[in-house]
Amino acid sequence: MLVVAALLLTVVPADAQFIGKPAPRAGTVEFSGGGLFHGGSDEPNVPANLTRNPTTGSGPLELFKSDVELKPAFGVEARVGVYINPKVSVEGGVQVAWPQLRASLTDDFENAPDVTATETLTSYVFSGSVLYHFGAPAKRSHPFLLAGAGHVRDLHDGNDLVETGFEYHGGGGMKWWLGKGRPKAGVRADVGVSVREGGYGTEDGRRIVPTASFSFAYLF
Amino acid sequence: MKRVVAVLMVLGCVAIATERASAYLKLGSRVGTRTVTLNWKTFPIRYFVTNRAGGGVSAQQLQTAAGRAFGTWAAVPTAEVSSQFAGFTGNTPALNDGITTIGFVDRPDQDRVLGATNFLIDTVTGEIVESDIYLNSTFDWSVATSGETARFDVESIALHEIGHLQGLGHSALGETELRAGGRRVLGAEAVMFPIAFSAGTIEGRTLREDDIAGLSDIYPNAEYRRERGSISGTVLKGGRGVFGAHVTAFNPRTGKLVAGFTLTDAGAFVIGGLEPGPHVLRVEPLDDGDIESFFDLTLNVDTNFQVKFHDKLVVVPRGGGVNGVSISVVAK
Repeated sequence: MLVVAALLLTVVPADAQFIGKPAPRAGTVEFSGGGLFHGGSDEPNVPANLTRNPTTGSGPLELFKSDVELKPAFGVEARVGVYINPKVSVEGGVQVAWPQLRASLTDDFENAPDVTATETLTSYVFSGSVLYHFGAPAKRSHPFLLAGAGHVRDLHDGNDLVETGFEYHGGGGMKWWLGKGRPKAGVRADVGVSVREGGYGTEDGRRIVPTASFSFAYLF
Repeated sequence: MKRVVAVLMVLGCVAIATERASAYLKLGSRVGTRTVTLNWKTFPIRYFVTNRAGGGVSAQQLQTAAGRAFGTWAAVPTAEVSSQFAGFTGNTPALNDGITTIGFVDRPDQDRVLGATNFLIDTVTGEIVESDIYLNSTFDWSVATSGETARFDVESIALHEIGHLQGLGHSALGETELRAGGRRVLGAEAVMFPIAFSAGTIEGRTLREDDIAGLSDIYPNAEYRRERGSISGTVLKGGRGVFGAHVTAFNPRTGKLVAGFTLTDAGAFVIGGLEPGPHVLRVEPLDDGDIESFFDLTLNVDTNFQVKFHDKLVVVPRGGGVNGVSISVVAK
């Protein structure tokens, strides 16, 4: 997936070039912030089973079905990065999103009406990444690839329970620097995947979450 | 303080439920306006086995099976209980002689009762002073590893009765069907369900989450206090509390089920012993067993409402409780 992303991103033509001193360069600091989207995930369906009296049939007696999913969510993010050289930068950031956890409860043994029970998580990801930028530094558009890892904190409704975990992410995107002369401001688009272990999800399980974001960026 | 003792009896496990018993999730003793939980204050619980065979099982085999059942309860990781076999005795169970005794007794008059547990209790402190268990030797019994056709499994029934002996009442976590002659259990997720699985089965040898939560609630250890949580709230019908509603908490991540009842006129319930995380709540009337298997018949148990799921996932904190959950039900 990363290879495909890299191929797609590197064929995007640069539309202009900086005038004057190339930027960014080693030591340049980049701030960015904006909105994000991350995909949902289906959790394993664990039915509410009773142990069956063996003389009345085989297999467990299902009290009701439970189909759990974490819905896709929107959120916000902020990052700060430092360029090691014009091609490579490192950055740290925080993302906050509010996915809804939904349990569809159906097929009750005693005919309780079907219900979807919900709660809303506040999901934090504190992450660090390394970015590699393609193309000449003097150009206004820079495709890039990134990879990194982070710490996940999923805070449940009521704020009384936090479930933590790790995430590993990879992806790519594009930065467009705006204005004339040496650019200061720009926009940035990212797509990628985040592999999450822990947080809300199956015990000892792993969730693969597609992510996308759009940010405004500023160089110092 | 003057010690007041009283005798309490729980008809433990029945083949088909017809007899009366007084029990809650936890057995209690009324002192003035409050209820004190029955429990043992000193461990290990020392017990004797009546030196008498019954239903095709010797006293030695009964002792071995009862020892395994005591061991199963003692292995609950979130509770602190222990027991010790003190020897064989010529005394029969149900005799208030100051020693806890397990044994076979011929009770042809109780043709649907497999076993029962009685107590000598301190009604002020709730301390269990003595508790005796009898298995009804009118039935055919087995201690075979995989069970034996048409014979009830001693270890399974002993496990249920020892649950009572430790202060647990009945759980309603099961489904039954009415047949000629009584109810038949279709499935249950608690050893403490009042109606036994059919003869020849050994599923009752394994504790379920509801049993573990119940025992741990009475004899909690540090891990239980630190790691488990509770849900409390009310069940209302037309704005008024429902007494005797069966409330089940389901963990959609693990599939574990733990249940309790509304135990006040305001419809208040507490379900303890839950793992941290989101839980589904389901409320149903007490219709899978005779009400007297759970409550005193003088109490006004409301069974006239429809089964319902709560529309919110309720998040149980680690080592704490979530309060104020309100579930409204409607009449059938």
